[in-house]
Amino acid sequence: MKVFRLYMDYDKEENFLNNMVKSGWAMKSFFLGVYTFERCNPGEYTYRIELLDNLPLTNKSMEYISFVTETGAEYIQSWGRWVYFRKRASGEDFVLYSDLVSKIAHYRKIRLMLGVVALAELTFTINMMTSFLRHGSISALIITIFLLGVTLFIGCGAIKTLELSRHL
Amino acid sequence: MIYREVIRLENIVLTESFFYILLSLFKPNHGYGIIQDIVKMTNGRVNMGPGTLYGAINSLLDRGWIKLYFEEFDSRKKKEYLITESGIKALSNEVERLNELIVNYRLVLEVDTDESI
Repeated sequence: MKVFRLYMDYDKEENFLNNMVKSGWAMKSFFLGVYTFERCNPGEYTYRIELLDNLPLTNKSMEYISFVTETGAEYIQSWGRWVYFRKRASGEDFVLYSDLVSKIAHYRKIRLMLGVVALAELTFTINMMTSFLRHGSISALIITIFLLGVTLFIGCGAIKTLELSRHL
Repeated sequence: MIYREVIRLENIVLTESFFYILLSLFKPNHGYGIIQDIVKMTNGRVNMGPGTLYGAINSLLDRGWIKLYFEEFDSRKKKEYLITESGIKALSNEVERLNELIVNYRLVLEVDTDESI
């Protein structure tokens, strides 16, 4: 089964995946907003998503991923710097971060990444806007509006993460 | 900001995670072994997440409180860690601080009970 979703909030994305497990669907892969699911026993797994410090193919990330899998979790896939893990439910909660300091550090990492991406998007948007103002081309206007939307979307994600880390 | 304070606090007191990781490294131990030992020591109360443990191990390595005990270049062999002299010192400093808390707690409580009698 395939489901299309766009998430800016990784907590919500995790909830979505874990709710799917409750109804007997385990995420198998993710590509450009499309989640592919396969049948599983209801409640069989707990999914966790994490933002890595480095890209997944670097030595540091590979070392971290194997560290996590050695604790009994399964590595599903990566998407950019994001990774998806799952663990068979065993009565014990599966979390990647179990104390306040490390949870905050993870949220800060996400916020920083989203902030940087939002800034880059903003630069593209301004570039496109000047090109539209100069040449008056409709396609530049459409791209400007699209980029502005993306910037706002990501910017809101960054602000939300900031709020979340305040609640901790 | 709350997190700044939390992180500053971490330099004064050992967090529970750091304390138990150090305690489980008096013998060479690998990641999953540390998690299991801590679960056992705390009767299941502390079930440390691998992300938390990994970050804490790197931070303890940076401080020189633990060291890599053995790293075989066989990729199937897990990395093992061991507490260092300065790690033992940090742990005993923390125990001293915790003892002070308990001593003062008892002092106040005993005074209270004396007064109530």
